[in-house]
Amino acid sequence: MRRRAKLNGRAVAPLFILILVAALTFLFPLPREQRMLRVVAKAAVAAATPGDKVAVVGNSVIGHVSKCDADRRDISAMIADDLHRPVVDLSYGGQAFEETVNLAGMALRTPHIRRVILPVPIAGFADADAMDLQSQAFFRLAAGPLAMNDIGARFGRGIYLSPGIAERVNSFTYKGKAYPDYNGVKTQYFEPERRTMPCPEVGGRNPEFMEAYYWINFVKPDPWPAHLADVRRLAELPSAKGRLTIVLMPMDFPGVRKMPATLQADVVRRRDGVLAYFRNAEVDVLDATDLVGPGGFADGYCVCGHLTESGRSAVAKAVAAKVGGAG
Amino acid sequence: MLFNSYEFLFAYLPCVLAAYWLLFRTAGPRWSILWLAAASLFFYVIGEHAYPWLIVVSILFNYGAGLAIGAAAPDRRKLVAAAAITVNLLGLFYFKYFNFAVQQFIAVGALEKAPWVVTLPIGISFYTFTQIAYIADVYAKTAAERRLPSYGLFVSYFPHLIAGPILHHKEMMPQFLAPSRRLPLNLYIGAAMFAIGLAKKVLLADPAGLIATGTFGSAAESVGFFAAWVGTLAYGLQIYFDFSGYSDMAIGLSLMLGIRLPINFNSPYKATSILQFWRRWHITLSRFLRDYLYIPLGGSRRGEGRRYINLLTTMILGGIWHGAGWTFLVWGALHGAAQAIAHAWSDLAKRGRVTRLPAWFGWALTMLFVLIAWVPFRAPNLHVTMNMWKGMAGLNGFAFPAIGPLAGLGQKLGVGIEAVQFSTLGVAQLGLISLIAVLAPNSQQIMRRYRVGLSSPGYGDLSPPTRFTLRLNWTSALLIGLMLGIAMRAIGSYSEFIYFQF
Repeated sequence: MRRRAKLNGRAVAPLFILILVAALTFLFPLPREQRMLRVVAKAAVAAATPGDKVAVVGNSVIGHVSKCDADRRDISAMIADDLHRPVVDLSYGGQAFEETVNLAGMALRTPHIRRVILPVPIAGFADADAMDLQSQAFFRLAAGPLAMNDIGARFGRGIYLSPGIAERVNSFTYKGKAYPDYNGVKTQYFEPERRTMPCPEVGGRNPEFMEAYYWINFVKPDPWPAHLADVRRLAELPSAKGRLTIVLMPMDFPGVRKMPATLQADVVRRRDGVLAYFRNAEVDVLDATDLVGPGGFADGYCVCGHLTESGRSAVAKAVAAKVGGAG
Repeated sequence: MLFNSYEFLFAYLPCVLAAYWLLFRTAGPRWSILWLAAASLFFYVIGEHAYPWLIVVSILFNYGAGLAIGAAAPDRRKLVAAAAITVNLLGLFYFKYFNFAVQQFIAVGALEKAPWVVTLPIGISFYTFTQIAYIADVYAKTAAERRLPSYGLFVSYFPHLIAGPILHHKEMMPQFLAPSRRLPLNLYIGAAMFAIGLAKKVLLADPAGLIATGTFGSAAESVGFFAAWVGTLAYGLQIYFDFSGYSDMAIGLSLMLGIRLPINFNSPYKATSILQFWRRWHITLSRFLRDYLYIPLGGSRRGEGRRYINLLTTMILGGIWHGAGWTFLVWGALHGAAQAIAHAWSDLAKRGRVTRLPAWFGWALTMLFVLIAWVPFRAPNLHVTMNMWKGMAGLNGFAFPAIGPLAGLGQKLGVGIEAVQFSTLGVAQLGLISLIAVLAPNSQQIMRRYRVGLSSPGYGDLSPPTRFTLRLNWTSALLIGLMLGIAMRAIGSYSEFIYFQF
């Protein structure tokens, strides 16, 4: 008994240390996502090695290569070849809008990165989600005080420690039919198409689902004003002048044109609204939304903007022309 | 609400702990028990959307049944107890096995479609078994509870409510009334135990689960030799670290409240026989099945043949307790048969007719059997079970394992490559997790100095000495704090505990 009473008294200081260390480790501003950590490490390597480089951020559209493509280069590799300059690929599959813009902001602050390509999908402007707190704190330090890194604004939106989830990732109902969340959609709709899709991997065989998925990606959620403003602010940073190229990524208009007229009109209206915002704000963007024609999109069933070799080549050439033109 | 969620860690737990100790110190145990019972019911109700009222009805019924048994005339006690247990079992059957029974009727053409579908209430198996044990104990005059809040707390106590451990009334009630008051020490040890459990769950079980899910998900078609073994090993590790992690977290949380829960795991993957495995795996279920099923069936008292039948019956029922499906029955039957064989072998060895197996061979054989038996436990149906077993036996052919760059090498060599792909990091992680399961000391051993949980009689020394015991010093606090922080960071997307579904 006496030993336990003594132990009890001795436990106060270790308990305090335990809680303090746990809290500091938990809150330490470093991304929790492994894939984010990997690209941060790549940027660090780029900063430590001499020679001017181009950085490309973005989601799986950048790195996706169709199984049917003879040319296995992804968009980063094509840009590198077209520009004859080394490219640091900071893209990864599933990169959320906030991550993309923050990584671009971080790249602008990274030594030896001369030019930053920021490809943004139109659907991304509607993703009112948020990174986990630790990643947000990291980017606050690494990318600067963008509105998306404002902790107060985050709490104001009711997003605390857990990351927020984009509306289009959740389950939804369209025309009376219930669709599962993104994981469910992947197994129920994407996987069967992916497994059985012959070459070339264009289009999809479930127009009912594709219509619903266009709707939840491009029509249902409204663009998040803070996202539009953050891209504008990034473009207006002194460090971005002559160094940042914003690319509005291709939308599968050949696919959209097969959809009902009202949906087509809604998708076009969404795209035009985003373009108008940047035009009014006098932000120079490369509008590649309608750049890619039929045969340029791979995996049309997933409405994810993946490109075939012709699509990737068209984007890379447009980017190279823009960057080359800008010097 | 999950233990591995921020809502629980940063809102629920601090509020419950603070109010509990405040009430205990200022108003006494009556009020702290009432608070804890209310907080536990809240914990349950916000997670159970289909039947939040069911646990309250179940508590009231069994509380009343306990009083009725106590008040009944000696010749009617047995009848009242049997009736109460039957009602519990009927309830469990309806909520857990109704859909399965209907499916069987549909399969044989006796029904066209299901008249309705029943949603499984969270934790029903655990709180029903806890209360069946209570009724049996009241009948045996080893338990009696007159205070409803105390009884309500005994059943709904949040650290054990969803996935056990399965409690005995007599081991909990004295503690509720007089919890250990060493607050800083209990918080420190509880936090350390919780950190170990959380780390097991998010750093070991969840990564292993990713591999298991991928493999079993592909097994509806065909699965190769290597993938089948890797997937099964991954599941064996996932379920162990998931469930023992949950148990450690429950023990740790309870310690913060000054109450010791029974220990549920004792390094089962170090067992050198299947009999030892069951003295190390899910100990509170094992002792429940022993005390309330195997022994009442006659145990080993009625001859060898009857003993084996009792073992088989007990394990089959134990299997079905986990879930409604033929796969669980197969799992239980396999373990029942293995235990019968192990007992027979042990008896023959005692008579000198066969030799005792060397420990290393016993361990290898036990692990081989346990892994093979996990397949039906994890598979969604018998078709997938058979596909996995065929793959493990090499009947689906042998192809080059598709692990990271090895897949490319196989392609270059022009040999067939398995369909299920694994990352190099994933397989390396699995190797490391296996070593931890087999070689590392368990939570009780690490916490040996502080007696973190209750032992169960007949289950051996649960914390044999080890070099790695936690001491009350700054270095340990630093390491545990670091581990807790890392584990909390690793809490990612929603990740339920496997035993929640039972």
